[in-house]
Order: sequence, then C-alpha cells, then structure tokens
Amino acid sequence: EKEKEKEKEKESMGDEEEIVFKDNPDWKDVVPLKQDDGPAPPVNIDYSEEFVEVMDYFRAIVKANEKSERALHLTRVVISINAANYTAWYYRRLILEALGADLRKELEMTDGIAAVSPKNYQLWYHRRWLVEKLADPAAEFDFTNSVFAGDSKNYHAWSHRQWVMGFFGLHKDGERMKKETDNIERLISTDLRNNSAWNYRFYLVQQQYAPDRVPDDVALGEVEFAWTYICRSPNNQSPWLFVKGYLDQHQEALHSTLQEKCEVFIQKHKFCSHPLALLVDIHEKRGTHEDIVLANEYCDKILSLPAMYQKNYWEFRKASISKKLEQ
Amino acid sequence: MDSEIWSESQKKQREVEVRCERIYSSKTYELESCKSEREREQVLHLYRDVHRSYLESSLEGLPQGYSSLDASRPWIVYWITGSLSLLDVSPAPSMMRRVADFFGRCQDSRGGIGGGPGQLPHLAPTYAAVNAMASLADPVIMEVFDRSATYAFLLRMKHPSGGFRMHEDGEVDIRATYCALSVAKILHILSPALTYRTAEFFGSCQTYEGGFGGEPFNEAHGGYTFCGTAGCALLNDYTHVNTDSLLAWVAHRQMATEGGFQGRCNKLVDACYSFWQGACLPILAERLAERKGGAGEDGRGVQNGNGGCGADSGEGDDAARGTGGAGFWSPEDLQRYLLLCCQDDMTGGFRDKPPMRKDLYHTFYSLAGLSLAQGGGPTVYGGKKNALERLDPVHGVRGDRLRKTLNHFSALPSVS
Repeated sequence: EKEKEKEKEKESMGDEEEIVFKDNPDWKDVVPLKQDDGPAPPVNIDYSEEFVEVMDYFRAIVKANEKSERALHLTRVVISINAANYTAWYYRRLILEALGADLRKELEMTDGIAAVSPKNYQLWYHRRWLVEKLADPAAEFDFTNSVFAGDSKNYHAWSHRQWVMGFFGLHKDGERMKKETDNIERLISTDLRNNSAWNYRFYLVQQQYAPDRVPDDVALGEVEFAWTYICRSPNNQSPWLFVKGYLDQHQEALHSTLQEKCEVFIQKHKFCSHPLALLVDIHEKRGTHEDIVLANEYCDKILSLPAMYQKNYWEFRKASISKKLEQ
Repeated sequence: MDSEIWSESQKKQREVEVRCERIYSSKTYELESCKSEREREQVLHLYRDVHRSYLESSLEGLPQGYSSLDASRPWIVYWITGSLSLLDVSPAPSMMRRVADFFGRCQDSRGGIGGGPGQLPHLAPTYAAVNAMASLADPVIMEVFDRSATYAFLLRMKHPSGGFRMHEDGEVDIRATYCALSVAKILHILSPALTYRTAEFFGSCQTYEGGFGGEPFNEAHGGYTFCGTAGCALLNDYTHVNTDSLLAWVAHRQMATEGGFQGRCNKLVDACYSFWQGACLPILAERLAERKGGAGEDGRGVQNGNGGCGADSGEGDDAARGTGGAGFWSPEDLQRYLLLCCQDDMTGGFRDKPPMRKDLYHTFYSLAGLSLAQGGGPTVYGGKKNALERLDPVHGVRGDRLRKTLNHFSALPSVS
C-alpha cells in the first residue's frame, strides 16, 4: 500500500526526481542562503544534507523574488521533502499566477500528493484555490471518493466536498443532489457509524432548502431514515444526534411523534440511554409541570442503567431539572 | 454492546478497548498485591524524571524525523516549555535567551511569527510562540514580541465573515480565529476591529451535534470545539452558541472503557483530546455558573440546524460553579487513561494510545489534560506526588505564568 503511494508520488514528481542543485549548471548563478537560525537555536533539527541544500536554494529564490519555471520546480521539491511547508505552497501559487501556468496539470499533480499526504492542510487549501480558479468542480467528487476509499472519515475531504457543493451552488442541481444522496446512503449502509457521512447528509438537506427551513415532511422523512439505523444499532450515537438535530429545528412538528417513537423503543431496548435522553430533552423543552416531572423520572431511569457511563453529566442534568420542579 | 453487524468503526473501537482493558486489569492485579497506600501510589506513577529528560533533550535538538515539523518549530518549543512548566521545571536562563533569540528570528518585520526563521508569518506558530512565552513568563522573551506589528498582522488576517485567515491568502477557519483572539488577549492588543462579528462566526461553526467544526457545516470535532468554546470565552460572548448541546456533546465524547476522549462521535480515543475536549468542561462550568436568567443569554444558534434554546434554569447553575467541570464528566478516569495507557515510562513522553509511539505533541496535551483533570475533581490519581501545576483552560498555559504575562502586557500602552 505504502509502496504504491510512494510510486504515485514519484510519478507526479515527473522528471523532478534528480534533486541536485549544488553542482547543477542550471543553478550556477544562485547563491544558496543559509537558515538564519542564530548561534544556538532551540529545537535544532538534525536535517539531512539534501534537506539543507533544497531549503538553502529555496530561501535564495524567495529572497530574489524569482518567479521562473525553475523556481516552480524548486517549490515542488520543497513540498516533496516537507509537505507542510506552507511558505513553499504559498510561493508556488504566486509563481503559478506569474507564469500563467496550466492549472489543470497542477490539479493532477495534487492527486499524487493526496495519495501520500491526505491529511495535509496545505494540499487541501491549494486544491481549493485551483478549483476556484478553474471554476470547475467536475473532478472533485471522484477525487474525494478516492480519498474516502482509504479513509472514509478524512476530515479535509469531507470539508472540501462541502465547500465544492456550496461554492458552485450544487445544492440546487437536481442531478448532483441525487448522486450525493445515493453516495451518502451507500456509505451509511456500509458503516452506519460513519459520523462524517451523517453530518454530510444533514447539511446536504439543510443546504438544499436554504435559506428556507427544511419542510416538516422532509424533516420527518429524514428522521424515519435515521430511525431505521437506530433500530439496527441502538447504541450507535450518530443517528440519535442526527434525530436530535432535526428535533431542535422542528420542535412543533416532531416532538409528539418522537416522544411516541421513543416510548415504544424503550419497551424493547431497556438498557439504551439514547431514547431516554431524547425523552428528557422533549419533556424539558415542553416545560409544563407534568413534563418536568417526567423529565426528572427519565433522568433517574438513565442513572439506574447498568452500564451507565456519563453518570456525572446526568446527575448534573437531573439537578438542573429538579430545580425547575421547585419553582 | 450492539449484537448485530460489526461495522468497520466498531471493529477498530473494540481493538483499542481490549488493549486498555488488558492494561487496566493487569494494573488492578498489581494494586491488589500492594500492602500499603505508598505501594499503591508507586503503581500509579507519573514518571517525572524520564519525561523531564525527554523534554530537555528535545529542547536542545531533535532527530531527523522532525524535519516534517520544520514549518512548526515554535509549536515544538511550546509543547516542550508548556510541558516543563506543568512539571514545574524551568529551563536555564541561557535557554531563555536562546528561545528569545529564536522567536525574534521567526518574527516577520511586518508582524506575525512563522514556523521557522524566514518563513511566512502564520497564525498557528504565532499562537504557539506567544503561548511558549507565557508558559515561561520570562521578560527576556516577552520583549521580543513587536505588539504593533503583530496587531497589524492580525488586522490583515481578519476576514469579513468575522473569522481570520491563517496566513496571507491562506485558509479561514475556526483555528485561525481562536489563535488570533488568544494572541491578542495575551499581548493586550484586542480591539473591536479584531472582534467584529467573531461571535457570529463561532456560532456559524456549531453543528446540530453541539460541537464545532472547522468551517460552517463541517463535522463537530474536538480540536475545533476547543477553538470555539475557548474563543467564545475570550470574547465573553456565547450568545450565538447553544451551550447545552455543546456541553452534552463534549461530555459524551469521554469513552466508557478507555476513560480518555475521542475527537468525534464514533472515532477512537486519543490522548490529545484530553486537552481539546477536556478543557471545554471547566470553561463551560464557569460559563454555566455565571449564566443569569433571560432568554437569549446563551444562544439559540439559529443557523446551521443547531437551534433551540439552552435549557435555562433562570439562575446561575450552582451545580456547575467552581467544580472545575467535575460535575459533567469523570476526571479520574481520564487520569487513569493517561497515566496507565499513555506514558512511555522507559524514554519519557506520552502517546496517542497504545501501542503508538510517543511524541512531543501528545506529551504536552496529555500533561495539559492531566493537569485539568487533577483540578477537575477531588482526586489526584496516584497521590499528591503526581500533582501538576494548574493550567488555564482557555489559553492552554500554566495559570500563574499566564497571569504574570497578562499583567506585564496590560501595563503597556494601546497599539490600536
């Protein structure tokens, strides 16, 4: 797996494999610039000779404000020895603009880097910058899918996908929305604990109707969708959070339905805290004296569960609610 | 335990639980054969000496593997000096001068600090350098920071959304926003121009789950949740945030078996979240204790599907006051996770989770989380000998040193 990634990285480097500057005639005119570390820097890294050489030439180029092809190549080399060098990425963008470079080729290059460093902030920001300049989101879905194949919860990839949808107004594009919905359903059915997928789904629907509220019937549909997964795996918190998210925004339309569903649920699943927690929230929100009494009772039920973990949190909730009873 | 299909997430989770369970049961066995409290305490040990050696030698120099952090050297200084300050170990005056000199070289003449000498100024290393400085509270380091240039830098990074960019033409997110506020607070350069619409920006990053994401609509995540929670504390403004769902989310991120925190729902425990998540609890405890009645005092968070008023009791929540957040979580279980599962007792430092290797980042955030957990309840796990110095949860800096630093800068004239 790692071998394949290294290969991909080398490929994207192209004929930039030869990292030689010192004795290279193409770089004869450049005087390498040493790092201005001072006489006794703390956290002194034991850099390799190659690392020092590359960075010395990079510093020289930046100082001279050179924006040439060879400078572009040099930034690529810096990125390959330290993908987190944000100065190199930043400077690379300046050069790309100055040269009027082929940004599609640049986009392809980032495919290679993503294979090796999929969690690197600079890579993702660079990709976003490119996509914005190219004004073309077409490749981004396959791109993020390929990252998900290796890590279905890669935070940057999900964020990127959300950004693409928003920036290009794709929540109003029926065809794209169908694809996204299908994709998310597939992901959730493969791993119902993929919280990133649940989050994506939530905002996919939100943004489809924004700036209007999600219609009540759609909200109910989403709750029913989540409920099928709740029934499969009662202790999986992801769909419960999803349902609570809808309840918070659609109190009027959903509170009675959800109360009923939870009451039925706890008959069957006697040791699950989540429906009890939802019942506490529903009754506390409703706020009548009877409701507060019930909320308090449900807190007691939670606290008496055999495998109760968030004990202190529920003691705190109960104390809060009990205070309301006194009023 | 759900008895149906085992998803990928569940398999990974179980593996980690099994490792921790083995460690806990072997320690329990060891403890049972102890004949005195003293012996017990030896089993539940904070290995100060090896941690100290690891930190001090790292402050001097680092192996080649750290080349990947060449753009984050102020961070490394912060992780080390922050750790040493919690262990109540101070570097020599000569090292203080070296740190001061180094930060001076990382500082850009137009303001802001870069990941190393000559690098583009960036809010993250700027935050780290300021925090390292505050952790040490040595005037020779304080003098290095150019307040007016830093202010100019922060203004340049300010974004119309209310948030901040990390660096020139860089990403805008909640991390950058928190870093900017924290730096401004410590250097005494906070101004209305910097805080304009920032509370709204934080609010826009809270999700339906209750935690915060990096940008609006992004998944609730521990690191970003810390930035949002601490950021609102710095603004003293939670009006755009639903603090009830925030508290519920953070409290539910503590893992039942392991005792440590996960970063996101259904992900694995990681020692660094001991701080990112753990710090939110004392911060919220303070907040809830202060909260007076009245609608809208704490947010309705109407954007982004996180609406609904926090359940307001109409008076400050006394259950929360002064408890260091102990009312909401299990600080002792966190201490147990860190001391028993995460310490490298041979060569010092702490790890993400067993069997991973230790590193400086996890070392600092473990010690930070440990300090908060010790302050968060009646127990210092393993006895008083394990007690660390108190950490301020909003900045992530040793409390008394932070106060000394704040006093120093607040006496200086305004720059805005």
